[in-house]
Amino acid sequence: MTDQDLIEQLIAGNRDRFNLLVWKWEKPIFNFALRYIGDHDLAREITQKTFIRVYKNLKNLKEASRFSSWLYQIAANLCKDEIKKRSSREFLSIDRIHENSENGHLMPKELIDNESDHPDRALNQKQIGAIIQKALNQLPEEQRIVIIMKEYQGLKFREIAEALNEPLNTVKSRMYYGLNGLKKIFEKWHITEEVLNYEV
Amino acid sequence: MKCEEVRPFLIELLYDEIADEDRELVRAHLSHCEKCQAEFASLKSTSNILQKWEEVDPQFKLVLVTETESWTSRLKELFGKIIPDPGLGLRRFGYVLAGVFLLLAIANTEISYQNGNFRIRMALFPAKQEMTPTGLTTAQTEALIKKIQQENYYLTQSLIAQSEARLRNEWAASLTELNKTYEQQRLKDLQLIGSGLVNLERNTFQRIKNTNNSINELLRYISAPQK
Repeated sequence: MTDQDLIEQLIAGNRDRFNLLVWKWEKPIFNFALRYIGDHDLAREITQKTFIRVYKNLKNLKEASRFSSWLYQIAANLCKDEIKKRSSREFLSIDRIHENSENGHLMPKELIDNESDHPDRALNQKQIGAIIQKALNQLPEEQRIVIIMKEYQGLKFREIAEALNEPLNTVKSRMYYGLNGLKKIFEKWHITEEVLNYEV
Repeated sequence: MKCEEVRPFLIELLYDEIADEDRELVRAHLSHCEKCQAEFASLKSTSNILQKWEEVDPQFKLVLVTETESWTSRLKELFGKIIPDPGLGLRRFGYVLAGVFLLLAIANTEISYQNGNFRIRMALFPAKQEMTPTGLTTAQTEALIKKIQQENYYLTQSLIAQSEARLRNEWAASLTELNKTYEQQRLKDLQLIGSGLVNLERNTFQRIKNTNNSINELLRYISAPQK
């Protein structure tokens, strides 16, 4: 059953169809929020708020076929609100980026810890996540969100443009500059595909 | 195409969202431009690094709306899938079948199964009671069985009562006998105790008398003048 079918049935009064919609989308939305915000509990809260907002405003959705863009738009707005709320406090994990004494490059703590404790062990998924999150957090917010939506949520550029209410070319441009920015960060940290595949 | 013109298309090519006509032009440029090739490879490599961060399981299941659908509608939906709408013809057949069953009921139809054979019987009036080999109707036989069962019950009850009374009498006789024996024994004991006490009194009196005599003798001896 497609999103469109579920939404049509839901609007027709079959309210329990909403649960099916939630179960289908809760994981992608949770992961989107987690990558954007970087906090498990907040990501869960945002996921819940997203679906509550979806339920309340479903009647305002003009085209059921654009549900995914609309859903991410809601989730992204909630994430942005959360970031604003936390702007006075410490948000990014930059404090945990330590200077590598050998060459003066900035490196994430996970990488330094792994290097000193287990030099021959491959990075685990948690460490990889932490490193990539730190790299993403160093990008401007508008580039970060485009990269997350494209790389992890698999949205088309058109869908991202709709969700962020930005011109299509702006989205592509942010993606391009975002990837280039990340490339420089990874180079600075000596992170390559091989590093993540095998060992530090 | 120049390198500056190609760059905006590299992202589209990377994510396979490029228009077919642009794809050919970009591919053609990449085939001879090492600089753009290197840039494309770099973008791809960065994208590959990002892909190493796997999706995580939320470890929760949101339930935001409770089911409001009635059980009848769910049942209808369930059976609707299994048994499609029979259509007018089949529905009519169903009504006719129901009518036939109603007529059979009115006609006192009896269907029985015995020794591998079905028997169907129809009548305007309900079937009469069948006769049993004893020459009695089923109802009479049942009444007789009930009567016999009742008589058996009373007989058993009276036998139990008699047995209980007999046992009671036996117990009472045994207890009377025991009481009598006990009384006799008690009398004997009392007599023995009585005669014992009389003997004790007599002996004691004799001893006191002897002692008294001895004391008198001693006093007389003491009070007599010494020679």
